[in-house]
Parts: sequence; C-alpha cells; structure tokens
Amino acid sequence: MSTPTSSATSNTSPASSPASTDAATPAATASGIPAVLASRRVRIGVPSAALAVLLLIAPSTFDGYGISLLSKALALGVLAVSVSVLAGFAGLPTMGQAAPFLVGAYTAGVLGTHGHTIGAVQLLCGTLTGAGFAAATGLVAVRTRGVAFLMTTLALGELTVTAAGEWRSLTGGTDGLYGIPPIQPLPGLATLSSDRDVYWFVLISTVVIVAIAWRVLRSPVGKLLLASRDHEARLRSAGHPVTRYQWIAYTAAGALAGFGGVLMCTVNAYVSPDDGSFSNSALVLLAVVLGGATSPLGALLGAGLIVATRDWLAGPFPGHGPLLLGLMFIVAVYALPEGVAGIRFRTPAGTRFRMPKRRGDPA
Amino acid sequence: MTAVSSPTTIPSTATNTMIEVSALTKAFSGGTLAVGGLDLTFEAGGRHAVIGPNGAGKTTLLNLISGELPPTSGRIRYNGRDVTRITRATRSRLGIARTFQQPTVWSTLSVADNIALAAWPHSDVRGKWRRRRYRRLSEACESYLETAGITALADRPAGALAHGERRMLDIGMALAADPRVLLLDEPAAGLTDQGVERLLEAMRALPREVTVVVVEHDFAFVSAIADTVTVLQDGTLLATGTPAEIAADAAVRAAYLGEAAAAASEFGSDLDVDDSDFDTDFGSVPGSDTGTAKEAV
Repeated sequence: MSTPTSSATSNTSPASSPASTDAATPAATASGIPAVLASRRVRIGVPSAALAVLLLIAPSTFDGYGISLLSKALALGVLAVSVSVLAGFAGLPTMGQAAPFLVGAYTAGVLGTHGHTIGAVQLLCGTLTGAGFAAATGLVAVRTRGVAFLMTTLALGELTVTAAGEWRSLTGGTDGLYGIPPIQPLPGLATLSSDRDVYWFVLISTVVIVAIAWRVLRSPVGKLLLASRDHEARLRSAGHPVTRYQWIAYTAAGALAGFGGVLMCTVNAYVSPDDGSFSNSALVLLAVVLGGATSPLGALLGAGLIVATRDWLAGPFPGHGPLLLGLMFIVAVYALPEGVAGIRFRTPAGTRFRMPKRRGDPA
Repeated sequence: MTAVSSPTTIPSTATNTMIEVSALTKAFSGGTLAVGGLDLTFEAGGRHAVIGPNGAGKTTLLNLISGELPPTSGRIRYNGRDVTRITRATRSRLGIARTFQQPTVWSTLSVADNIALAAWPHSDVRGKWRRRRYRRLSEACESYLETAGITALADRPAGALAHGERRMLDIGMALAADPRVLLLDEPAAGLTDQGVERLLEAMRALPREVTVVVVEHDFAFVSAIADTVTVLQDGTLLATGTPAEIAADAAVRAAYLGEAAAAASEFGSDLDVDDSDFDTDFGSVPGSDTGTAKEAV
C-alpha cells in the first residue's frame, strides 16, 4: 500500500516542518528547558511522525477490534475537523455538528441498502446531503451568537435525532438501519470485505478530505474566518458580508461532517439515531478543545485520544469510560490550555506569529 | 501648531452635500438621549470636525452615520441617497469608512493581512480568496502601510502592537477602504507627537474630494486640519463655523471650553474630555482621559 504512505506523510508534515527550523533553539535556551525537549521538531514532529507510523502499521499489528476502533476514530476525527472549522476559525462553537454527520451516515446507509455500493458515490452524496442540511439549518443558526448559537445548534441536533427516529420508512426508526452491504471504493475495485480493507479506505478518504480542508483554511478564506472570529463588527464595518461567510463556513462544515458520517456508516455497517446523539457532538467539541481549536490535525488527534480513552483504555475498567474521559478533559484544560497543537515554548514577545489562539484565552 | 490654509477658500465642490442628517435621534435603552433631533450637513470635500463636551453625542453621531447603530428616528442621506436603513457593510462598500475610538483590529492576523482584508471589499481584483490574487491585493496595499508608517510592522500579529501602532493600523485600514467619506473617532488620542505629525501628514495627503469628519477633543489638532467645526452639546447642535469663529464664540466658550480653559488663553492639547461613561461600546482610550477640562463642563 504505497498510496496511503505518501499521502499520510504529506498530510502530517506541514504541521511540523515549517516552524521546526527557526525558533527552536533560542526558545529552548530562553525558557531553561532542555533543548532536545523544547525544540518544535521534537514536540510536534515526533508525535506527528509517531501518529503517521501508527496509522500505517496498525493494520498489521492490531486485531480486528483495534483496527475498527481506529477507523471509527478517523471518522469521528473528520467530524472533529468540521467542528474545528466552526469553533476554531469562524468563532461559532457548535453543539449540534453530529446532525449533518447523522444525515451523511443515513445517506450512505440508504444508498447501500438500495444497492448503491460504490464508496466514492456514497461519499459524494453524503457530503452533499450534509452540506444541504447545514445550508438549510444554517439560515437559522448563523443569525445567533454565543450561548444562543450553542442552544440553537443543540436543538437542531436533537430535532434531527428525533426526526431520524420517527421517519421509519427511510431510516428504520430507533432500531436503526442494518444489513448495509460492504462497499466498493470505486467501480471496478474489489469489495471491502475485512476490517483492514475498510480501514485503508477510511484512512485514505480522511487524509484526502483533511488535506483539502487544511489547504482551504490556510488560504485567504481562513484569514476571513479568523478575522470574523477576532472582531466580527470590524469586519462588517470594513464592508464584508460576514453573515454570508459564516453561512458558507457552516455549510462547508456540514459537508465535512456528512463525509465523516459516510465513513462511520462504512465502518459500522449500521446507522442508528444514536450516531447523531448529543454525546457525539459534545465529544467532538471536546476533541477540538483537546486538539487545539485552530488545528485540523489537532482535532484529528483529539478524536483519536477520545476514542482510545473511551473504548480501549477503559477496557480494564468496564463502565468507567466517561470517568476517564472526564479526568482527561480536566487534565487537558489545565495542562494544555491551547490543546495538543498548542504545545510549544514561549518565544520572546511578538517575535513570531502564533496562529492557534483560542477565543477567551487570557491575553 | 501650524494651521492648514485659511478655511475661507472653499473649493467649488463644497456646494454638494455629502452627508445630511435630518431630525436624527438616538435614544439608548436606559433612557439616555444621546442625539436629539439633530440636523446637520457635511459638505463634499470638506474637512469637518465635531467637538463637544463629555456625552455630547459625537461618537454616537459617527456610529449612526457609519451604520454601527440604528437611529431611533430621523434620516441619514449620503451623496443624495437615503442610507438610513442600509447595513453598515453596504455603507462601507458605498464609500463610508471609519476608525474607532478604541482602535479595533483583527488581532490574530498580521498587520499586512489586516490592511488587505480591509481593502478586500473595495478592490476590483476578482477571486481574492485565491492565494495568488490575494497576494496581488496585498502588494497593492503596501502604500497604505507606508502612509500609516507601519511598514516595518507588516508581519507582526496585530494583537502584539502597542496602542499607538494599533491606532495607526486602524487608520490605515480605513484608508485602504478607498473612502469617499472618512469618519475618524478621536484619531489623535493616545498618539505620540510623532504619531500626530504622521497623522496630520496622512490627512493632508488625502485626495481633496474625500470628505473627512473627525471627532476630536484636541482643539489644536482640530484647528490644524478642519475647515468647519461643529459643536454638539447634549445631542443637539450648538454652533457651526470655522475654527477661528468657534474659538471666539461666547456660547461655545461657556458650554465646552469653560471659563477655566478660556482663562488658560490658548487652546492647548490638554483640552481633553473624558468620553468614556458615554461610549460604553469602545471604552475609554488611554491617554485621552487626562480630564483637565472635565470639571469645566
């Protein structure tokens, strides 16, 4: 499998390489921490490389359960990236992002049960329905701010879950949609018959979509979103149609979430209203907080940490997954106020531009 | 301080009215009447100053003209067009640019990005969301950095700027919007002498057809740039005239400048009035609230 190798490394390296050379040594000496630990190459590059290696060797070392957990973490990771677009860049922390995720998952499930088993088609359709759903709900949501936005998105999420439970003819109701056949990634390719095959499909899809999101967020589009987060009123005064930008960001985040939903359906071969539950929305918001709000890679990492904690680390302590999650969250908020992606050492004031800064941080 | 050329030579364009407010009223929810039935015109190409004591409604007037606040009643016309119900983003695209009493910038973005994003809606470059086009826009904006004297800070995050630098950036952002009407809210507050010099230079370099409305406490600054001065008191018009006429006006001296300040003969730069209890939106500006004239009001 050479394709995922190259694309995975090309995805992880932008996080570590650009800044690893410049500020490393002076920062280390200034803060009095051993240079080896303080250099960005070590603090960011090593975890990124370890993650890439883990993702690549996982299929040959993990059992089926571990592999499908990893696939789930990637699907949730895409959802977390969509939350990071909204919460970190556009300044719209959402509590209902599991709703377009659910819409995407049902799109894939319904397509699958009706015999449309081409993965690329499912991904495309799920992305479009997720975007369409967000475009419609966004008309209401982006008119609110702060707590009102949290509540609106929460309500939209819960309404979607309820609707999914009631619309039995399409969704199978609260029993869920089962018997979803395995997919072919592209016409002419073999059907994904094992957890390992599904994993590769999910990994490649995730790398592609996150790379696209990354590229867009690093373009002037990301600057517009950051500006609207920093000072929305000033952006309006400068003549920008800010509400339109926010609606587009909300729609794009819905598309990302829908994409993640399709992946989740592919992994589970099952969709139920539970996939769109509030706990999923809250968990990915947690993942974004863990990962650093303005870092798509951090969001992925955060999602991985959460799934690992809840489903794997909690194995020896049955029923105590939420407790572990809670502990991890408390530790993370205190130890890493800027998230995993925010781990770095102080540089002399103002010498270097620090992109990831969450709203509400003490200045 | 050297004054700008005599205000008696009014340019021919000055017969056109650029901004006209009629019966403009703004009452805040607490019952404060910030602006009460104001009738005013600002002529095209003029350099207008608005002065007045603490709470006279100067900043509210700017906020109403720029669309930051909706008026309670009354009309605002801009270049012959009724803009009372038009959003601030649209007014900005029509050519009304402004700065803020508390300079507001996008703090995580670099200084150059701040200027480029401020110029964005006013530039003809298409597809600015693409990297290459954006770079072209950014390059076209370098002159504004120069005018504001912040070229050396171009790559700094705006949040790391000192107060005076941030104010110059705010002014640069307003200039980058290629305005027909430039509203400046206490542009000199908190600036060093050099900063004030640079600001005066930038304002003199403005194309003559740009209409400038500046809210300012420093009467020396006002007389250096303005050809007409409007005095507000309690949200109503007290007097209008050239700086010299206003300085000589007995009613203005009594209401605004105060006997104490008048006794101090020359209108020095310590004629600052604290405006903060009124403009809760933007807070007080450090340096502007030395408050020597406060008791005189």
